[in-house]
Amino acid sequence: MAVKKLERYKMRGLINKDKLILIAFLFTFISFWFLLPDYAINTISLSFCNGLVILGLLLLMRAGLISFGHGMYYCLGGYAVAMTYNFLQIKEVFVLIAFSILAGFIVSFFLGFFVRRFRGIFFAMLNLALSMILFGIIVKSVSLGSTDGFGIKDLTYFSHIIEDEKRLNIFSYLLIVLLTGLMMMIVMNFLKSPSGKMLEAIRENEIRSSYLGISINKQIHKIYIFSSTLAALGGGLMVILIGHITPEDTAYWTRSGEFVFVAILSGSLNVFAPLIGSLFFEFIRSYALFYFPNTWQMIIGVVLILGILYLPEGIGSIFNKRKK
Amino acid sequence: MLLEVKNLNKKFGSVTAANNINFKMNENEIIGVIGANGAGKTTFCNIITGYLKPDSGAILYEGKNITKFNVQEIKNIGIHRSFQIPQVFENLGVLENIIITELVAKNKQNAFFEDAYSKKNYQNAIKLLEKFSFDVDKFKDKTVKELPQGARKVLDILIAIIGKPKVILLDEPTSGISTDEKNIIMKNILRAIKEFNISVLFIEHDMEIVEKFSERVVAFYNGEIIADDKPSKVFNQNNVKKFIIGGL
Repeated sequence: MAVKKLERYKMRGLINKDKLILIAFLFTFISFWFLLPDYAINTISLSFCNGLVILGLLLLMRAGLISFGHGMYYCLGGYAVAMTYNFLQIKEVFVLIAFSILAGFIVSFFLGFFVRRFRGIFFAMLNLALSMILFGIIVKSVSLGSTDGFGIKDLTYFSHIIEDEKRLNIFSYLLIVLLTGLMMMIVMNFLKSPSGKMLEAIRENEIRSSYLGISINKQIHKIYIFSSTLAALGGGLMVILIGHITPEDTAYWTRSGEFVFVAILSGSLNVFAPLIGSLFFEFIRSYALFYFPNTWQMIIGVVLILGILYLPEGIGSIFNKRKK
Repeated sequence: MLLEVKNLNKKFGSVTAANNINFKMNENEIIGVIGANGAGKTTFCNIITGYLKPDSGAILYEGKNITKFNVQEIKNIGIHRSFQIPQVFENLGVLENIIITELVAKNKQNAFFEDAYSKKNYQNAIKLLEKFSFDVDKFKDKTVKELPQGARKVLDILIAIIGKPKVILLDEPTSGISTDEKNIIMKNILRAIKEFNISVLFIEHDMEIVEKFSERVVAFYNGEIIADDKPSKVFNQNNVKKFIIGGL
């Protein structure tokens, strides 16, 4: 009887095609390698690196939180790659990526004990403050490259050497697209799992959540680590793509603000939104910079206003329109 | 003895919310709590459930001192509560509210490799709602914020019952509900609660409801318990008539 009722209710999401869409999404972007010019591939790659940070912010947004300092983890991931390359002479991309993930994980694990007690604007600004502390430390430390940062040259993929000038190559492109796809898959599973649903409960009603027995601080700590590690991975991939990192391009508050901007533009309805939002933003910025070099920020501002007015739940809501 | 409160005191600045409260509750008892606004009923509830810490005194549960337990610990040992203003997940559907609660009750807060909104979980949620005579058909496509007050109250109480507690504290379960609905809702709730052998402590302003559904009544005034007996005896006490129900 209950099953019949269930069918009658036409529960949303029981038959889920998200994973198929994700595979199609990845295949489409892989095929772009053969179809689009280099500058477009470069923009897509960079959008995916930044998209990982937005994906991390999506997780926080699901719990009703936002961080104005996620550039810090983007920076940490990037510096982990650059410093491992320069100081340990490790050139294997997969080892470098592992270091970036580890850096994000370890730092967010310890900082998480501190930030998990805060909510709303305090959580957001605390992360901004931490990000600016990191920025200050790097800028004032010559051994950390100061404002010049670090560069990396030749890399190896499974011991296969790729020369510096061929930084954007099929290996780096595939690495970025496939790793991003893997992270999207993990986040997608997480959001559907009981563990992911705890975030919705916390966002909706923290009092009821704690009376149900949900360990609010532990859940927020967990999601903070997850989110920060994604941002660090994004930073690590970005350095592999660009070959250079500076504190101003990563840990400075404007970078974090940009991530929040794209996160709001994207919304938190599904895992595709951060990537689409990031792509949209990078292309708009590229074209706005090209055609309106002195007023491109205004174009970006107008885009955000239009997004808020017509897609208040973000770009993701285009795919999540519920049938009445 | 299931629950025992000894010499409990709580002050908010110069206001005394609990003044030397002593209280005992046995298994399967249904106790009504009455008192005027500000008498200390909800504070009493908040202290027992760990939301507030008392200034002094002790709370014993099955002989164990739980005075310093936090909200989660209190919930985990089997004391649950509902709220005067329903505390539910407003933007989620009715079934999703139940499913999340059940997942927590089954200790699956950290489960990653399963689908939270699975067919099986929906089926269980529907069964549970039907057990409480909740009109599933009527509210199937609505988010909780779209429900009428009576349905939200029932949902809030139902959420509190999931996980099979031994004690449940209901804070004004019929407030904001029409007179016609009150009796039906209380009857449905208490019938379902009895099936689980849960002891009930419910705060209520409607004396008819208290008289009809409670086996024992505790009357609060100015943070003190001024009466604790069978309903007929409590309602005939002069101080209860004077300070709470009127008639003197």
